[in-house]
Amino acid sequence: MRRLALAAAFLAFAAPGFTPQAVAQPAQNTLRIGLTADPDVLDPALGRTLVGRMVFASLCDTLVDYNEKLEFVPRLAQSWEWSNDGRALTLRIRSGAVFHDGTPVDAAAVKASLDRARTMPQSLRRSELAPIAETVVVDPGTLRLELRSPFVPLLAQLADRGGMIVNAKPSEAAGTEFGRQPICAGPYRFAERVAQDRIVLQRFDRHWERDQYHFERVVYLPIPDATVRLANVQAGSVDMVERILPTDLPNARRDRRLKLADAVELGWNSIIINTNNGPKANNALKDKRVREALELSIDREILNRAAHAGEFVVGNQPFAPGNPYFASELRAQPRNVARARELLRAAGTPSPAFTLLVPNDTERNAVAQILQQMAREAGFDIRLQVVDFATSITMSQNGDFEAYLLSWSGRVDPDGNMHTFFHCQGSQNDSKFCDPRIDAALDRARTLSDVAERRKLYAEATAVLHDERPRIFTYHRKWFFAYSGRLTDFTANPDGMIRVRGLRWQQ
Amino acid sequence: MGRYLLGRLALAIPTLIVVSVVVFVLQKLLPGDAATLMTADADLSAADLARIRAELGLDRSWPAQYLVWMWGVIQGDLGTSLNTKLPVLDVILDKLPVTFQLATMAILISIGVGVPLGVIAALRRGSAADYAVNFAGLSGLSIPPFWFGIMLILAFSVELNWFPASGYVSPFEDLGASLWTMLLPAIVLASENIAILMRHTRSAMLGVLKQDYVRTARAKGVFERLVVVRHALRNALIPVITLGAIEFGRLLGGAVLTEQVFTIPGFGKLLVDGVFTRDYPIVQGVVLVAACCYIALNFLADAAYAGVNPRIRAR
Repeated sequence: MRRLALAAAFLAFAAPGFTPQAVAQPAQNTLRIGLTADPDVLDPALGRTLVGRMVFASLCDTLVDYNEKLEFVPRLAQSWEWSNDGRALTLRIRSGAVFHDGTPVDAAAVKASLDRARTMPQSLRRSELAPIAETVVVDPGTLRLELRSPFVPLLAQLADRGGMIVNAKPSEAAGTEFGRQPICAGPYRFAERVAQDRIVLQRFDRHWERDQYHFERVVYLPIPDATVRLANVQAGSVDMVERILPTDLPNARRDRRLKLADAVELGWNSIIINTNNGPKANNALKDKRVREALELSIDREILNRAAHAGEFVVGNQPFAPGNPYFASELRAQPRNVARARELLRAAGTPSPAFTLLVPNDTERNAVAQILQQMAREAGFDIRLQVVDFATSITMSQNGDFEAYLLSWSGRVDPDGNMHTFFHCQGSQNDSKFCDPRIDAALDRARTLSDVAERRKLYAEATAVLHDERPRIFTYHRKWFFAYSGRLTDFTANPDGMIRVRGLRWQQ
Repeated sequence: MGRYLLGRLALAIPTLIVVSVVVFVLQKLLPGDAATLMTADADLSAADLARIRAELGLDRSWPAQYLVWMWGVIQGDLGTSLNTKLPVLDVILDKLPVTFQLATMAILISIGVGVPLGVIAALRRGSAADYAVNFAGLSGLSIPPFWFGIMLILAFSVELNWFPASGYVSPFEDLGASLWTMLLPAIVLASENIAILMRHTRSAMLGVLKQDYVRTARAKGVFERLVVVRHALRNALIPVITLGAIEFGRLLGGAVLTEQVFTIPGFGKLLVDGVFTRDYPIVQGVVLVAACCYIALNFLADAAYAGVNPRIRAR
């Protein structure tokens, strides 16, 4: 009996036959990146997730890209030029670029790829590329995009999935199954995918910028739990991870094996209020003074400290401080509980009650509870309704909410942070808040390319939002990356993507 | 005996149909669908959404959607993931060995530790050993697997660097590395089952040790070790086998939290992600396969009774 028990104990704790082996060090030429989730389909026309974009950054070259200062830089399009009336964009296609199957990337191939994304029934890029009326091949190295009306944000679409060029011939045959074996023109080609385990990319030796890519293989591994993700890079099981939690930062900063990088996101976080979408618009926040009181009851700095260890950036606009479109003249109102109470009394509702819809994740749960407590001091009674993300989106679209905690990953062009949410016709304007002043500013800003002029228009629209408060902006997250101390030349970009270009092991 | 087992097999088909219908309906009752999620990160018009729904077949009636799926299943086609566009059958076949390996290692550890501990606790009833075993067992049961997993990772991977922090290595690539990588998660999973098996073994042994045949064996002068192993334990094992099979089946259905912590690409994570992204074909496929495993295991447990208990064999 004793022997049996001993054997069992041995089996459980000593793992017979194996001595503790140091964790296998991978080949020098592989880069392993830990992602927060398993990407969705690897087809730029169908992709819908941020982690999917992470993989595309190595797999599929875009026509243009932007650097960490958000300036556009050439990729497959070596240069571009707007016509004087802003209704045509002429792209010079880089010579020498080839798809992963060896087919050259010329104007005709780019046209075929853009047309695919514009017309494929399941494509998620149709609205993004809708301003394009026609794609015209001028010569093998030149493509002209003719627009229905001037639309400056198009360039940003071409820097995202809308501008990722795939080889349209095989993609046509494969249909929606193209994502199983995508053929793009990026620095890495698709090698293998095991769902929820790994995506392996192999360096593409015929890429036009091959000498900038120092790893032979890039492996993407989904590691959903943030603390475990950090543990993995600490243990050397992966070389780089994205999205470290603010609460894990002290631990990461102490670890000498690691380097950290961060960038403020392009996106925003906000409380959206149902002002005009169905019967639930008839809620306690209907009166503009009550919405103002709600904002006055919130201390953004305390929210940031309590929920995010003070590591994020407080915000009151659709653009983070530091973004070229941030309007520094529009200041956030500091917390003022006395004034909030006064406003509520004036509105005749000293203790308004409403339900806040919260997508279920750790971050937003914490934020919601802190908001609830702060608003209570001004007299608000906030009930929290926590549901899974897909449910929350459905409820929001159907107007089945009074207030909703909503985040947006952000876009490099300011239009992508505002138009779809605040324009009367915006497809994601779930408050159905509608103001002609905002529409006029947003529509006009689409036609201009001068940053200062556009910034003025977006500030005008934001000022209306500040006055009417169909939405209260709260903070901007930061992207925190942790990576092996032996890696050099990594730059965090506000879009949160990991660009492998230039990244290498320390010599 | 043969007819009894055949009867149990025939019951499996209606069971599977009921399971698939229930899961299908429950999923449909959740608000939103795969197309809704696409709006979270893309600017889509109402017309775009309607077209995408039609393309995905989500605009058809529920019964039509179910029957289309069922027709595919009969032909061996479990459909395509709405989210990754990968064939569901391939995805499941990728996960099945992973989940099977994890469940097997966990159940072997549970049995290897839980049963002997239960025997010890029963033989030394009321002693310090009994209390110690009970305390350890209940601790294992009470520790949240999520926390326990992270603690093991921090201790053995981050600090000591003995184990990889997570991931999966196929046993066909490198058997040693595969077992080694899977050991920590298997221990976490087993920690819960050890206590359950230990408690059941203990009470079954206590019951059996009071039986006349045990007293008779002892009176005949049979060695105590033989009395315990051959006479008592064999009889006490019947409820333990049932329980082991049920627990094994549960493990095959996926161990969400443990898989999440150790980033093991198994069934549990697949299922949960499938539910949250409204990836109906994935959820339907996983549930169907997991239900098949469960039914098969129950069947095997029935057959195993016959192995340990001659009275059942004779029936």
